[in-house]
This record gives sequence, structure tokens and C-alpha cells, in this order.
Amino acid sequence: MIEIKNVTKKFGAFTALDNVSLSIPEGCVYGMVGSNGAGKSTLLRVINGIYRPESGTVTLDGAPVWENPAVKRRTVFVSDEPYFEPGANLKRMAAMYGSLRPGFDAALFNRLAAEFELPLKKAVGAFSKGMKRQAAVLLALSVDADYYFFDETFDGFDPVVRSRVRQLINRYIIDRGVTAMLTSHSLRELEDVCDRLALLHKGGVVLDSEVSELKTSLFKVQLAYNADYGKEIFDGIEVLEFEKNGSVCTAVVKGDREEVRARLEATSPVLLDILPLSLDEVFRFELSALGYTDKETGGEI
Amino acid sequence: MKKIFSIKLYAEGLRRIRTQLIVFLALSAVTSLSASLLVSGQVMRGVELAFFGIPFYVICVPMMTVRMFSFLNNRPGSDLFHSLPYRRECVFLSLLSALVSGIVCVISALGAFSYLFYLIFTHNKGLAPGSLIMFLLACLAASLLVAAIVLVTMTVSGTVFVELILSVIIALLPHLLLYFVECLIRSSVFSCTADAALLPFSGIENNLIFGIYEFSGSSPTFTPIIYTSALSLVYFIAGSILFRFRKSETAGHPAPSKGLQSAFRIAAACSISFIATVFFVERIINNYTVKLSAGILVAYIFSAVVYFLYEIISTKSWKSVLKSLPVFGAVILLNVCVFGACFGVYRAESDFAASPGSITDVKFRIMNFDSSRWTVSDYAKSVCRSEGVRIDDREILDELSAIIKIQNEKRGRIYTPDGAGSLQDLTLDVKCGAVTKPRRIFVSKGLSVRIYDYLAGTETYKNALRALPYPAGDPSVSGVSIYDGGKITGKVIDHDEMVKIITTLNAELETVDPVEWEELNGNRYEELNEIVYSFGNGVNTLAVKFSKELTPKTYAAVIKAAGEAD
Repeated sequence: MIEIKNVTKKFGAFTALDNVSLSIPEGCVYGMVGSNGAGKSTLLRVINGIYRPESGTVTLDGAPVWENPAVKRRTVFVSDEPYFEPGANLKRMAAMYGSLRPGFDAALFNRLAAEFELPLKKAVGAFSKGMKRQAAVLLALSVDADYYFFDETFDGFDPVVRSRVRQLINRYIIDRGVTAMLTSHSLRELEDVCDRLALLHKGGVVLDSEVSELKTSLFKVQLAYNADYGKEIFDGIEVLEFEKNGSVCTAVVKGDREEVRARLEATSPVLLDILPLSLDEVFRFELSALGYTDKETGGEI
Repeated sequence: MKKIFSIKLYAEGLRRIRTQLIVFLALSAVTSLSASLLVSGQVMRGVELAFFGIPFYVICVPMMTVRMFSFLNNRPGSDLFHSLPYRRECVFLSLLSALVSGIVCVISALGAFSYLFYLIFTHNKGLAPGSLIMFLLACLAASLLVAAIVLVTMTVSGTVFVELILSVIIALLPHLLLYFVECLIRSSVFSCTADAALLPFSGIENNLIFGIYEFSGSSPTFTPIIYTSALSLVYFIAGSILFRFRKSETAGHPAPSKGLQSAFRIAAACSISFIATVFFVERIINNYTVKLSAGILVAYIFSAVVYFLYEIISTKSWKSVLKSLPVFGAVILLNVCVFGACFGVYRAESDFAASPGSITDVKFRIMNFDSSRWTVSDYAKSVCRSEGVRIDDREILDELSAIIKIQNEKRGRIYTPDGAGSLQDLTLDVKCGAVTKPRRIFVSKGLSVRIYDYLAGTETYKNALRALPYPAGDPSVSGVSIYDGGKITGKVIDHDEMVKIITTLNAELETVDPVEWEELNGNRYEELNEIVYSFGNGVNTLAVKFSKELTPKTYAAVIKAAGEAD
């Protein structure tokens, strides 16, 4: 379990993380979205003991991470810019990982490299950006760890590679029941693989929820009546957005789906449809409910 | 127990510099071969390898250090190395060990190749292994110091540009500043000697990065090697502490904080302006008509240019240049401090030992004799000097204080009624309380005689008169002159015979009246019997008078040796 308590990290006068607290249960695939400068990368670096926070604590299964090799042995971090030795090929990188990372499985790496058709003897410097990220993911997944951290690693993959990487994550992270944290600019990159999602904004966590909960607690209602009506039809129901065109209205509602349906059916509508929202829409409405606008969050999620 | 070394990290470190090592090893082989061919037939002392040795520690060692710790300049690399399951001390020590191993490997190869090629090309006739080893040790010490300095700069910065600038500043500025302040003192305080150093070991020859030629040219000693190695150890320790507390986010940035960025920028500017300030002070003290010369003015302007240029290059931002403008006041303030400090040091040096009662005692630092042919008295005085016999006669000391004061005020030697020609140049170690400094004092012949008479009254002097040194050095100058009623006969005596004569004389002197012995040797008439031989390091010869009456055994031994010499 990853426990982050009141972590603040500053770079000079800029506060990258402002009193962040999070708790990530064991076996969870945790996604974090946020615009540039939101603090996602900083948070991952703090969790991995790369950055030392000005205040607050980070523990993995109760043990502090900072300068703690025993804990770091259980973690693998893939930076947003993966590191490769100058002039090195994947064979050399695998040897380096094998030497420096306890639990690195060279045979597994070779298998994965073959599966992803990554050349072992070609200089990594000559790889495309996508290939470099694939190589970094494969190197990381070849380490037998309990915690995996990927910083914007999946952004920019083409659909085919993205699908293959998702399969890999299913195989080596979800199926093994280990914990992972993934960050991205885009919710779409994460929604299929994550159990839980958080939104970081200006160094703070503004939303943190189970994906299933997010998708079920917010939904869209389409409603029509023979007689004239207004928003008062939703009295007693939390409405995040209301729009009426002629006799048909559309509302984004938060609450228990069946309870809302029962209440609205009692008003004898001629049309009542309850539709699911995409995760993007859920995030947007949740944030607007919290008082954030698209502009404030960078409009990227 | 905390793990502070990892063999795997060490091996990884060696792999990181593998390519460089191969290139440098090849270069060391080529250098050794060239040196052995170039000086074939002559004695090789090691300094011939300087054309690889110096570029090695000036260029190759920084390259190896930057390569080894390159992750400190690179965010992805920093992420990887700091996320590894090792403590920072472990990463530092393991990689540092690999770096030092690489340096030792190249320098050892340089020595081994040299030895090998000398065996091949000169049939082992021209190699001086002792001085070759000393040169290699000097190269090693200089290399370690360079590596340590670069490493310290890497722990406080995250870009190669800043590290380069800071390395040059750390390596050069302290020594250069001390050197120029010492020059200022020597040129402004008349009593200061040429070897007056403000701090122990501040001499440029002790820092082997700069002093390797001077080190190799003279008979090499271990002092510069120990000093340079100790300095590098201090820097390595500082580097390890800074590495431990280094902010990882510094990678790729010129400085970990705005404060340090300002400090580095100020240091860059001050490295030029400080020297200009020292020269400015020197011109004021020595009453130059134009005190702020064009050269000094240009140096100040250049210093300001460096200040702003540093900011532009390191931050790549014009905005930050504007922001750095107010901090330029710190450069001015620091120069004012150096200005004041220079005057303070000048005043302290000028006033040293210049007031009555201030000198605790003096001893001879250098003794100048009229010729290299010493009398027994000269020898005894030199023993007093080498054994550090102190002169603490209050009257003499106060006269010396008065002379120092006038010399420094008038900036020259002060002639007394004794006459200009009679001034004696004395170089003394002057002790005031706990501080001892060398001073050059021009004294009247009368005072000089009193000082030497003081020495002659000491037990050390008296004992030295009767314990003459044994022959050493050039055997060709060993000889005797025997005066025999108007005829002087000269004979060359071989070394072994001369040793026997001196042994006999020293034994005989134990029973001889010291006053008579001193009187005999104070006699300058050439008609007396005389033994002449070289001693000590062979530079000087000693002329000892003897007589049939006072030293009959020695006389007999000389006659016997002279007869055998026929």
C-alpha cells in the first residue's frame, strides 16, 4: 500500500505539490491525469525516492522510501523521458538493468523484445520515440517488483502498440496483482486499465475516485412531458447540467441511478432514458461541480 | 549495517568509462614509445612523459569524471540512478572507486609502458626509476585533485557549462589570488623575502595541477604529492557530503537554487575582478601616478561582461539577466572587501616585527658567506643555522625591529654611518609571539658582527667547532697544504685517507683548548698548515687549519698521508 501524507514539494518559489495526501491500496492500478505542471511527475519522483519533499511522508507498506534500498528494491520507475546510456543498444541496457536491478529477468526481456520486434543490437539512439518508450516499458516489466510507476509512458503510442502495451499491463501487472501508478495528460490513455483515477491540478489532488464509482454515480437523463415543465421537475435530485429543447430536456445527474429513475417515473414522463457518460464527461462534470473550469485544468482531460 | 559499496555499481562504473579507458591506454602507450625514442641514450626522469601526463589530468580526467557521473546532468539519468535500490553514499563511493581505478590504470600503464620501451630501446641504461615513479605519483595526485574538483562542481550544478566554469574557478582562483597578494606584499613590503608565503603550502609548486614542471625539474619531494593528495581527499569528502544532500532536480539546471545561481555568477565575475583589485591596491600602495590603469579598468569591465554572459549562457534567458542586475552589487561589495583585506594584509606584513619589543627571537634562515670555501667558523655558524639556534638578545632584537620599520617605510635598504659598503644582507626567521615570518634585513657591519658573535657564544657553535664534518662530494678537492719553514707543499689526498685524518682531528679536538683552536682557525695567514675537503652535499669546501703544536696527531696523520700520496 502506498501512503502519501501531506506531501509538499517546492522548486524555488514554485510549489509543485501542495500538501498532497493519497492512499493507494495494494494491487490497484492507479491513474493520474492532469495538465503540464500539475505535479504528476513530481509526485511519482517523490514516491520513488528521487525527490525529497519539503514536508510530508511517503511510505510503501509502512516503510519510508527516501534512502531506503529495501523499499526501492520493490519499485520500478519509468520516467517520462526514458534513460538509455549514450550509444547503448538494448542488449547493453538489459545488461545494465541486470547488473543494477535485483530481480531483472533477462530471458523475459528477450522474449518481450522479440514479441515487440525491438532490435537488441541496434543503438537505442536510433529508435523512434515510441520504440524508446516501448523499450523502457519492457525493461521495467522485466523487473520482478511490487510497485510499478509509469510517467506519461503510454502517451503517444499508436493504437496498435497501445493495445499491445495494455495487454502487457494486463499480463504482468493486473494478473500478478501488483500495484501500478500511471500518469497521463489524457484520461483516454488510462480509463481502460485503471481501477482508480485521480486528477491533479496545481500541485493538489482535486479528484480521487474508483473508476466504477465515477461511471455509475454520474449519468445523463433524457426526459419529455406532454405539458410544459421546467428544472423544478428535478427538485431533490443533484443536477450538474440542465438543457431543454422543445419538450425534451437533457440533464446530467449525480446520484443513485435506480432511485433517480423511480422518482422521475413517478412524474409520468412520455420519455425517460438514462444514458451512461464517458469518463471524460464524468471528469468534466465532477470538476465543474468542484468549481473548476476546463480552462483552469488545461482543458486536456 | 548500511551498504556503502556495491561491486555491481563499481563494475557498471568501469563499463561507463570503458571506451575512454581504451583510448587513453592507447595514448599512454604511444606517449611512452615516443618519449623513449626521443630521449634515447639520455636518462629518462619521467618528466618527458608530461606531454601525455598533463593533458591527461587537464582534459582526460575531467572527461572521465563527467562521463562517470553524467546522470547528475541529465534528468532521465538522475531518475534512473536515484531510483536504484542503493543509498546515495553507495552510488557515490562505488562510482568514485571505479573512476579512481580508471585513473590509476592509465597512469600505471604509462609507467609500465615507459619501463618496457626503455628496456627495449635503451637496454636499461637510461631509466631513473625513482624519479619516474615520483613523476607518475605526481600525475596521479594531480589527476585525483582534478577529478575531485570536477566532482564537487557536479554535485552543486547540473550542466557541463557551469561545472566547467566552477572547476576552473575552484582550481585556479584560491592559488591565483594568494599568488597575486603575495606578489603585492613582496613588491610593497621591503623586508619581505622572495619566499614569503602568506599561508603554508600556498606556493604554486605544491599544487601539482600547476606545479608539475617545477616539481619534476628540481629534486622531487613528497611534499607536493602529499599536499595535492590531501587537498583532493578534502574535495572528495566535500563531494560525498554534497552528493548525499544534492537535490536530484538540479540535473539539467545550472544551480539547485537561485541563491547558488547568484553565488556561481558572482564567483565567475570575481575571479577576474579580484585580481584587478589586487593590482589596483598594489598601484595605490606603491604610489603610481595613474592608479587605475587601463589594464585594470579593462579587467573590471571584462568582469562585468562575464557576470552577465554567465547568466545568459547558463540560464539561456534574457529576463534572468535583468533580474541578476541588482545582485551585481555583491560583486562590487566583495571587491571592496578584497580591497580592504589587501590593505589589511599589507599593513600587517609591514608592521610585523617593526615595533620595539615585538620580536621574541630570530634565527638564521639563509646564511651568506663570502665564498664557497668555508672556514671552521663559517661551518659552525651554518650548524647554528641548520639547528635553528635562536638569538634572543633584546638589544639586538630591538635594533632589528627599528631597521625593519625604517626599511619598510623608506622602501629600501637604509645606510648607516658604517658606510654603504658595509651593509650585511641577513635573511632571518623572525618570531613575534606565536608567528614566525621570514624577513630580509640589511644591517650594519657592526650589528652583523654582534649577531655572529652571539652565535659564537652558543654551545652549538662551540660543539660544531670541534665536530667537523666528514668528507663527501667531489674527492678531487681533498688535499692538504703543509708549511715547512717558508715552503708550502700541497698534496692531493684520497677520500679514505681524508676520512682518517678528519677522524683523528675530531678525536684530538676533544682535548684541545677551544680558545686556542678557534684562534688558530681565525688566522687567515696562508703560511699555516691546512686541510681542504668538500663535505655535505659537495657544494662547499671546508678549509681547516692545524698545527704541529696544537694538533700533533693530526699533523702526523697528514704528513703520513702526504708521504703515501707521493
